[in-house]
Amino acid sequence: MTTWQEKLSSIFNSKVKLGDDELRDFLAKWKHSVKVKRNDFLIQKGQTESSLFYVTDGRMRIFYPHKEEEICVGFAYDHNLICSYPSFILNKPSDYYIQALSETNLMAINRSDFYGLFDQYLNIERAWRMLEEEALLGKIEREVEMLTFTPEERYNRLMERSPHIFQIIPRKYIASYLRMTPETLSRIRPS
Amino acid sequence: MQSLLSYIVSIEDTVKNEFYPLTESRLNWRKTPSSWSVLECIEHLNRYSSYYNHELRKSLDNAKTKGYPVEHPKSTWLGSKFIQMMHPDNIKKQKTLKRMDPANSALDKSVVKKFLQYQEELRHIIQDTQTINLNKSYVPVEFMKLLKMNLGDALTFVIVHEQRHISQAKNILNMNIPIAEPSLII
Repeated sequence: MTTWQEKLSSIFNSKVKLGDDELRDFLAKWKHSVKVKRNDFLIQKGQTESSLFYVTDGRMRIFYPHKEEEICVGFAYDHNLICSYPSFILNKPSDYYIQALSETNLMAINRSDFYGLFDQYLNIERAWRMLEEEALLGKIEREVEMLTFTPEERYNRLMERSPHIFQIIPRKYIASYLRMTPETLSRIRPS
Repeated sequence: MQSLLSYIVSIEDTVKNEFYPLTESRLNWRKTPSSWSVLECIEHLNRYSSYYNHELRKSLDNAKTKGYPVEHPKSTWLGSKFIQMMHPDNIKKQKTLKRMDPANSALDKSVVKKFLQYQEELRHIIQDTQTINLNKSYVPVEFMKLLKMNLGDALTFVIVHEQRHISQAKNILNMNIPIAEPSLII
């Protein structure tokens, strides 16, 4: 197994331990490698997401365009799975953009191949369900924080969860993600 | 005495580097409504330091053996009993006196700063005890003032008690690991 295959397997194995056959067939479906240059897009609004991606290295942001603003809703870096989720699940055009913040290398699995594995292997479907649960719990936690926390508390919570984010992601995008102005963020955390 | 100093330095390191940078919400987290948070462990130690630092200093200032240090401080039967009771290796739960129990107080990080000040004081006290006979000066035990420990025992007692609660505080943090970032970004 190559390094990215081992790392990708470990994401699914951490939820449900996959058997040798399951793992072999699973990895065989991640056939496409994709390179996205800095500032280029993995997907743009209006395109339909036909793949799930694994980030082997790089940095990306997911944003939602709103009036003149680009609202950051998430970041992906090394060793993350990423897709424009509503588009991927519903097979309809994406409302979101996914942009590379540095040159990013990804591996991709086709939507139909991925769903095909579910029919064959219960464990893969189960591991995926648990990964979705984890992502959903994160989103719910974030929603409550956005509704009830002060900017300082939102910042502190982010630091607990992702202490290295300032080394990876430009401040203006972190400010957007925390729903505060860059000025407010600078007041809380002087650069 | 050198080993006592190095114990304090290691306690200070833990508190400065592992506890102080965390958010107050994490430092105030408790497993059950009646158990202590990290800040409560530290506040409990502060209440002891407030008593013992003062008594240790007083006993030191009144020592009649200045200039006559002992090479080997001797532990008394009583002193070693108390030390054993508080030692972090003794896993038996000890009852906390009400006045030393900070449970359910709303604490902030100033508790940690205060703790570090007390440790600095304690280091100075230890350095200053090197010129006296530790076996010939005494400190009344906080929870039974009629009983007295010699200075050597009292210093060891204070430090093993600190080690005990710092290790408790580390365990509390380990029980409350924040939710990891999800692998799947949506």
